[in-house]
Amino acid sequence: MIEVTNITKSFDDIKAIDSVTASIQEGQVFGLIGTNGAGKSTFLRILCGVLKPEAGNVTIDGEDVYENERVKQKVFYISDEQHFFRGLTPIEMRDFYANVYENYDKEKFNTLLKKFGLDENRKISTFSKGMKKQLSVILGISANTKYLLCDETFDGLDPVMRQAVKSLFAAEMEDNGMTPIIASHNLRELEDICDHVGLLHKGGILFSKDLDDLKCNIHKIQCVFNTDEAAKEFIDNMKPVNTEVRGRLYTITVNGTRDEIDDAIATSDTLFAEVLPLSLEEIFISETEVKGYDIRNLIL
Amino acid sequence: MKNIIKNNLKQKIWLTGCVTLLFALVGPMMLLMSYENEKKFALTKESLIQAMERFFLPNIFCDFVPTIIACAVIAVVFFGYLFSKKQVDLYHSIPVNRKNLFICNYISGVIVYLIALFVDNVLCILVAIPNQFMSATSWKNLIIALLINTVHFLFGYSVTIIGIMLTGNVLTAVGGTAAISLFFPAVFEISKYLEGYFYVTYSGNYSVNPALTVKYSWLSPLSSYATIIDRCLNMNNYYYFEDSFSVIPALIMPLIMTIVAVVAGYLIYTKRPSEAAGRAIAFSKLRRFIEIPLVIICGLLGVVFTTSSVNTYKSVWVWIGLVLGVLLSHFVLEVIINESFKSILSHKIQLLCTLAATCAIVLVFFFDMTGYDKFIPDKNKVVSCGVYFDDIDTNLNIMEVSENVNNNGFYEVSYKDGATYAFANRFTDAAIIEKIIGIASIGTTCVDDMIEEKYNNNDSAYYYERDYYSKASAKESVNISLEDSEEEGLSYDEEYKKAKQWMETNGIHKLENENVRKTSIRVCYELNGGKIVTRYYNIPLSKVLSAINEVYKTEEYKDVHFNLDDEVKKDVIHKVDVYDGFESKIVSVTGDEKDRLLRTYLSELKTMDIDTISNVPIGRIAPLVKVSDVYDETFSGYYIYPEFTKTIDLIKSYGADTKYLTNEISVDELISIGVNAYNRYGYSNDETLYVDNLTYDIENDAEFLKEFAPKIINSNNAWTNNLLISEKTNSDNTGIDISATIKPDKGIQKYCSLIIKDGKVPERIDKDIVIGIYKENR
Repeated sequence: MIEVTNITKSFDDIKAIDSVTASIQEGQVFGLIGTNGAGKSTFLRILCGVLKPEAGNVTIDGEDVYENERVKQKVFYISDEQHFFRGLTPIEMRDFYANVYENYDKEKFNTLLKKFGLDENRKISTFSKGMKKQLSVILGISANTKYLLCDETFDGLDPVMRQAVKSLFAAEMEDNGMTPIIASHNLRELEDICDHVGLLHKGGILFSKDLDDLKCNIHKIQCVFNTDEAAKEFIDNMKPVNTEVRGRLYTITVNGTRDEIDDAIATSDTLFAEVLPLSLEEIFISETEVKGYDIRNLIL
Repeated sequence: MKNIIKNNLKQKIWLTGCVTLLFALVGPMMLLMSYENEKKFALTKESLIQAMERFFLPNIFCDFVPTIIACAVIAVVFFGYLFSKKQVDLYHSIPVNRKNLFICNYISGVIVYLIALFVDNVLCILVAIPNQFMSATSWKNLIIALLINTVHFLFGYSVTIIGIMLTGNVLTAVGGTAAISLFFPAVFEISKYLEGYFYVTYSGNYSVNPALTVKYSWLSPLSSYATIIDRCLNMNNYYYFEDSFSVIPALIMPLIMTIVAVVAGYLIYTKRPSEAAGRAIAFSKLRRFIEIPLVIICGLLGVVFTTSSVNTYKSVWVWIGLVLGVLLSHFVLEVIINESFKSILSHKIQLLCTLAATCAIVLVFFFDMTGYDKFIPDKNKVVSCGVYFDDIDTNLNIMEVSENVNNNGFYEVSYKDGATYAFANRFTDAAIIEKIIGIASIGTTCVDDMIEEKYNNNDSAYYYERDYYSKASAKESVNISLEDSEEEGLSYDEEYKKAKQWMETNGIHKLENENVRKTSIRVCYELNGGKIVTRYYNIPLSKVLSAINEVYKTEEYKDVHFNLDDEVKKDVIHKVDVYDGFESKIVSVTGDEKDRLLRTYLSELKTMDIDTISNVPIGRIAPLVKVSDVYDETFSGYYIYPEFTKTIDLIKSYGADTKYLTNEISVDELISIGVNAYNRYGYSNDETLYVDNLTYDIENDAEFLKEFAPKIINSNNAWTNNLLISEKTNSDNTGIDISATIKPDKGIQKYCSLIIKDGKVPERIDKDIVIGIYKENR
């Protein structure tokens, strides 16, 4: 488990991370959402021991990560712009990492490289941005670390590759107990992979919740009421997060479990009612509006 | 860690290749080229080998320059990742802690250099062996060079790493490294310059008090390296004044500094924030501590630049240089650190404080707040004391003969600077110390005059020329108004009277030499605690002559001043050259006769005092040391005075011709006397009128010459101690140059310059000068 306790990090006068506390369980995919400049990269760099927080601490499995070789063996960091040594090929880059990561699996690397169709003897400097991203992921996965920190890794990948990488993550999680922590400003990208999400904004964490919990406690109802009074009564009782009206069709987003909502519908005077699932984006919008932020301004 | 080093070297193989190529191109190539050159000049194979042995010692071109380049390049290659955020993310995220990263990269850099050095040396050996100059000395010198180069690579490399650790991009790293490397040498050199500029009693550095840049050269890798190379190549250099130079002890301090630099670099690295990549300065809190000293140094460099560029002591240039240096450096540093031209006027309060601090430093020198010029030590705190008289026995070169013969079987002679020698051989006798302090005390009373003279000498020559020519044209107009009457038929006295009248009308008069005769003296004190202090004074001769004599006449002074004794004892002198003012004669004596001559001379030498040497010498004796089959090295001339009767008698008894070993001019031998009067009459001391080639020959002026001859002395040997001679004979107040032509000796005419014994120009000559000037200028 990664425990982040009240960390703060500033760069000169700019507070990049401000008193952030979070907990990342093993075996989950943790998604870190935020706009540009929210502090996602800074957070990940603190997690992997590149940056030292001014306040607070970060522990991985109970040990401080900064300048701790043993703990760092459990972490592989894929930055948003991964560095590759000039003039090296994928094989040579693999050898570099194999020298420092004890559990590095060269065979896995070779297999994955073939699977992704990358030439092992071609200079990395001739690769496209997408190919370099793929290579970063392969290098990271082959390190066989417990935690894989990915900073906007899916940017630059085509949809097919994106899916391939997601499958890879899933397989590694199942086979080797890997825990990916993925930072992105793209909610839709993370929707089908994350188990737990945290939202960073201006250096602070707005919330950090399990996606299932989020989805279980908020629903969207599309309904038609027999009378206007019935509609008003329903709305007053349910205290919705969001209401949209088009003619006689009401689209209401409410907090509560499915059972609670079904009970409420059953006791109301509705002509028609249907409970619909919310997308991650809709959930986020709802959640942040509650906290007073217009999420539409924050995320894509 | 081994894997990381191996990986480093593998990745940076191109660097290893480049550095090796640099050394390989420079070292062995230069060796081969030098060999080809030396072959042309060497007389024997042994001398060729001896010449080539020196080329294995470290030198600036083949060792210093490539090594310093290697320091910078290797450090940037292995630690330059700290400039890039991407690379920092990689290196600091992998499971290798900073300590191991530092060690691995450091060792990798050292290995690259050692590979290059090894290849360089192997190639040099491969050049030397077939050409047969890989002697034992060559091997020794090669190892010396290897040690010096390696230690200084480590030193420079470690300092460059500190520069990289403190900064965040290549530009500031290079600048920062240069600033660290040159900071102390700059401070020392600036301090030396300011002392020399502001303090009139500043006397410079000698071997006993080497410049701080030399004494503390180990504070900078550049100065340490350059100084040690210089010491290796110039072991007999008077500046260092040591019999031998030992490499290992000399490398101890640079090695210690290397260790300090490595530890400092490592500690800074552990504290260095990863986010410093790309920034100008890694530790923003240190900005002020870096910027302020640099700006102060630049301000002082500004003073050095402006004052050394203008040939004047006008103080306005001090302040112009200071302000410009401070402002420019502050602006440039602010732009570099903030990476924006808009920040040029940032931190105005800091700028003002820095300006004030720099001004304060200069004012300390300007007003001599430390009492430098008036310093006189407490005699009880002086352990030893040396003195050097700049104007006394100026002919004397301090020469030292080696203890043993060299490989060719000859002694080696080296020259030492007089002051350096005197200061290295200080007196410990309390009485002499007190006398020297007495001389210095007189000197301090003249400091104000020295200062006034220095700061008043600011007018340009142009102004003198302009005034001169304007008065000259006025003179012409006066001349034009005179009647151009014929002087035919006038007697000598009438002509003289007319000439005198003309002079009075035109404001031409006999000139008095306004200049007071001054002499320069340098003193050196060794104080309790080992501190060496030197001073320089320029004192009116009349004020200090008596005090000088008190020192000069002592045995102790003579033993140091005339260091002939040791050489006589060593029996290295094999001939003696006697010079009588006209020509040299080698005294062909051997063994006991030579010894007796030199010891007699020495005993008479030691009886001299100031009064003796204020007389014109009658000749010179120069011992010769054989330094090769074909060449003798001559000791400087030791003068023979009329009082040295025993020496003169001995020379005569050995058959040397001593006819002209005298100052007297025999009227029987005179052919003519010539007089040039350049400084006797004029409008002022800067506007003189002259007449030359006044001649008095034996045919036409026999009576005059008979009367005049006893009053003149041959001054051919008077080019040393001429200040003292002038003081005694008042010769420079006569305003004339006088010379004699003497009858042929073995068919060759002789010429000599003359001095009038009592300084009184005969009336006849004076009248002729007046008439001559009148005729030339009317």
